[in-house]
Amino acid sequence: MSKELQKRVERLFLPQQTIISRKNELIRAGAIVFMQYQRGRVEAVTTDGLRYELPDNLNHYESLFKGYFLRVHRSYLVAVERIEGTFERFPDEVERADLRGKEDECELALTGSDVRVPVTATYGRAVKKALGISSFHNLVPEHPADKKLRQYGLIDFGWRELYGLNTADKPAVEAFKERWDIKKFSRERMLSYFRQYGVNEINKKRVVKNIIYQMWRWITAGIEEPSDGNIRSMWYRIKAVLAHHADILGPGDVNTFYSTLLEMIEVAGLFRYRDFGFMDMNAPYCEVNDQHPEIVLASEKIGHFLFIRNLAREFGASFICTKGEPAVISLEYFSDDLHEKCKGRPLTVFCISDIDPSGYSIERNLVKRLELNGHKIARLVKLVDTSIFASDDIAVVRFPVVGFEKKGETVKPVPPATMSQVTKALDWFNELQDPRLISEKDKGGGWKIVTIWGIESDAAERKLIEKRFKDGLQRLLQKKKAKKPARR
Amino acid sequence: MPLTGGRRNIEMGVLEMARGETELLKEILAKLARIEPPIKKFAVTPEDPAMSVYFLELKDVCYITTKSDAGREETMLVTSGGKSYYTNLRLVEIEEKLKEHPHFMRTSKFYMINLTKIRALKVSSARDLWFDGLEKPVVNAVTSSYLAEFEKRLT
Repeated sequence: MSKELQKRVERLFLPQQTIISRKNELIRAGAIVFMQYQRGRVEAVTTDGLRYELPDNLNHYESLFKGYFLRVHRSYLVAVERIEGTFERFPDEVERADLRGKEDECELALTGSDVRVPVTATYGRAVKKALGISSFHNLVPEHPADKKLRQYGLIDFGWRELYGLNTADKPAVEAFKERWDIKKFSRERMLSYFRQYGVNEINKKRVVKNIIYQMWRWITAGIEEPSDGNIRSMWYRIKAVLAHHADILGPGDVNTFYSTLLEMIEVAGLFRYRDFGFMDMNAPYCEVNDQHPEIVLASEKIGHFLFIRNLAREFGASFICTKGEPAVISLEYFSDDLHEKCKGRPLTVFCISDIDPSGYSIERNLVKRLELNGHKIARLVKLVDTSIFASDDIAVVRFPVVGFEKKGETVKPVPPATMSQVTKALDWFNELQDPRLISEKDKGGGWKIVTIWGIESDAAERKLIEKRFKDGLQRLLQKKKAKKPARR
Repeated sequence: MPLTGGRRNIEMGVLEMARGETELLKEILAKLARIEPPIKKFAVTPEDPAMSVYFLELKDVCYITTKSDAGREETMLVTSGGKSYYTNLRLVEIEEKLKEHPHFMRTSKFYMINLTKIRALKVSSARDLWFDGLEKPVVNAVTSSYLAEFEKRLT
């Protein structure tokens, strides 16, 4: 008991003890942040940033100040009470991989110094023990929201401040932006958040991802103006500010920007293009009408624009001309307009698309996008299929989609077709199973040349399409009428 | 050989003295623990997202309470500098971690306080507390079920 008491009292007085430097200066141990061995010298670094050369080696001070100074690296002793926090360690020089242990190493932030002192795996466990902690990295339980973002490589900078921010208080908003605007971070600050592991380089894709995420957060919070142009104009808005502070993105990185934005919206579903205020270039090619907004007439062809617009207007239906694969942004705007007028009613989609793999894909994607935007699809009606053509006509209007050679189970695409196009076309054909859309020729040697055919929707007579639409619409309206309870 | 009465008394006296010294040492150690608590720092969520862990000095903490920002239930540690730090540990988990700490005690369903940071209190059915460096009091910081223990530890 008395030994324990003696030890604790001695430890209490350790910071008061003095160390004599080589130049006979007296340094109070309590003023020393860390001791470092470099180029044959042992130096003590104090809170005022001064360095004092010491006469003995680190081992000497380690045993003399046991419990006060702690060995964290072959070349460093730190004052335990000055340890303020830990950072992930990014060595400046490449180290042998077998000597590294990510879990047991970190960099220490110390009160009284800007220098970050490395902790290597050799000393990691002892440091954790002295600090009474189990990990350098995951000590504080992570909030599920933060974890989700971290796993996606995102940091919600200053979220708590943003939550409490009065957006009408302009100076406060400006001060907040000044503190957290990623675009204005210095290169060093960027490195501290977006460094690639083991390399002293900035991960550009992570920077771009975080800038996009921050813009979305700030636009939705009302402290940043939405885009008044298209995606390209947003890129230049970002790049211009970045160039002033940390010139890390070049003109070639525009593609990284596009692909990252696309990935965050269309794959991860983090937000929508519309949230950024981007223009919908297809806006003139769609309309939601009042009478039957839940009836949607769609075509993939720009050539059908006037035709479907007139037809839709005649019956008070909605229409959209997708001009090929439907653009995600167009479907966002169109869906929102539909929501406004449909009030939750499920949609019936009448679709005009080519009878080929692309046409079917367009149709599927149109339905998928409407569903992703919160619509229920009651029915999808194909206005153009093979039944709209006479059998004799099919041989005339069809066009080759892909050609391939076949022997047993072996398939070889005939250029310009690629294997993936052949696979897609075969999948499509197997779904359709119409013998008029496939032909085979003997090539010799057991090989056959197979052609899969498609038909352009333009080849169908518009009168027939119109009739199909009207018939379908009438049936639908009759059904609805029958469902409505009779008024008393 | 049986002890004579005189020797027995001397040995009993020595034993008593040793027992007394042990008690004294224990008392000194307990007092030392109040000056030099066993836990000095507490890991909290760092303000700087680049940091993995931030160690907050417990001697600076006035009180610990629960907080909900943007629907997030968190625990907040408020320092005498008026700064707030956060952790996702629940108050009951922090109480368990600090149960040996001589300065901290649970004083209500929502509060743990640092006894050494109290500068004033208002006596009513509950206790409102004023802390060093903080202008506003913490209302109902000590509720009735914790009052007796609070007063015992405060004096």
